Amino acid sequence: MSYTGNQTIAYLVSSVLGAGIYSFFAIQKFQQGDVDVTTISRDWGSLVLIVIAVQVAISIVTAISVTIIQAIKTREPSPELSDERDKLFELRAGRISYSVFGVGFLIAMITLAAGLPPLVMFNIFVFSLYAAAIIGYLVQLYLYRRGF
Amino acid sequence: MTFQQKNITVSLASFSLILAFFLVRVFQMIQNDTFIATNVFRLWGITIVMAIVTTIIGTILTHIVSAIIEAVRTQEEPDVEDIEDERDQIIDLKGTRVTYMVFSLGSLLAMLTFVFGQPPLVMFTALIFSGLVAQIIGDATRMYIYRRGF
Amino acid sequence: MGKSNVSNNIRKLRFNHDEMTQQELAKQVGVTRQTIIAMEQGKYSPSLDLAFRIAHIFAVPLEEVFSYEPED
Repeated sequence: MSYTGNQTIAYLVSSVLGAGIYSFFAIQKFQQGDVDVTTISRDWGSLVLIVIAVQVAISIVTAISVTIIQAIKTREPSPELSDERDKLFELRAGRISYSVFGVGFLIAMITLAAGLPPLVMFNIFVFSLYAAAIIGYLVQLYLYRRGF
Repeated sequence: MTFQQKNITVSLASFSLILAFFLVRVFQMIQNDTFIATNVFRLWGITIVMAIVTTIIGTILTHIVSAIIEAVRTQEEPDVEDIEDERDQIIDLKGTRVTYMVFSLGSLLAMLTFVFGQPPLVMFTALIFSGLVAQIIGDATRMYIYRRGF
Repeated sequence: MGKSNVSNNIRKLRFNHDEMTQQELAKQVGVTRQTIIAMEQGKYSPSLDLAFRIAHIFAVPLEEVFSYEPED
């Protein structure tokens, strides 16, 4: 697989890890049982931001390691630019991500309209952000596999 | 102007109007101290429905109106150019990417307001706001690319 | 999009083909007139597919429609 294809795997892995870390803490919060679902306390917001910060760190590390591994394996410097085909893949995946995000956004609001507590909406919202990113990267990988 | 460009213009105009309506309502609520959950959620619902309806009806109306104008101008059978060629598709994708980025960024900022101790309602309002702004910036990007040629 | 290294003779070819209009060409190759304009102005590089379709309409080889100048 090409260099940009491998970078996509790195981003995919870090998104999955980010979603995993968030789920872990969210489930833990619920299991502790002191969650008032009718309000959203500040620490939910902090949780999201911390997980995102951690995820950014992970993706930087994985992206750099991919570059290093690639350089060792192929013994050539990595290409810096994404070419026109890479850009087209990115654009197409971006549209899929946006659709997933849009659908998640709507579902989140429907739960709210259906009278479910705001915390449910909040979590669906966070998950649709992750689902959008992960599905977008998967689509990109699929396009790389298929060749076009 | 091609059909796609007209469509974008209509979308841009209607989303700007929706945004204006939304902001006016929010400021009214804040001034009248009626910035409470039921009102905000109702406004949410109205905004979303308006966005969906204008997107669908806007496209149909654009089509009909441009067909009529064309027929009046040329005195012939209308021949509206409603194809989306490869350049249109790429421009559309670029606009969508901008929308997605602005929307995601806006959502994160909305959550940030939350960390600074603002009530959830502020976050919800910021979410809708960023959605509308994202749509407008995406359309503006498409218009800009059309103006520039590509 | 930086300036492309590919230039084309579409305008000249249209003129030599019974002064074909941009609209006629657009219709024959299945794109909008705006896309033809963007190409003639050198702002948009068409896909290989579209490039060949244009060459086919004018019944000339691709190199007579498009030419490439390497960067200095």
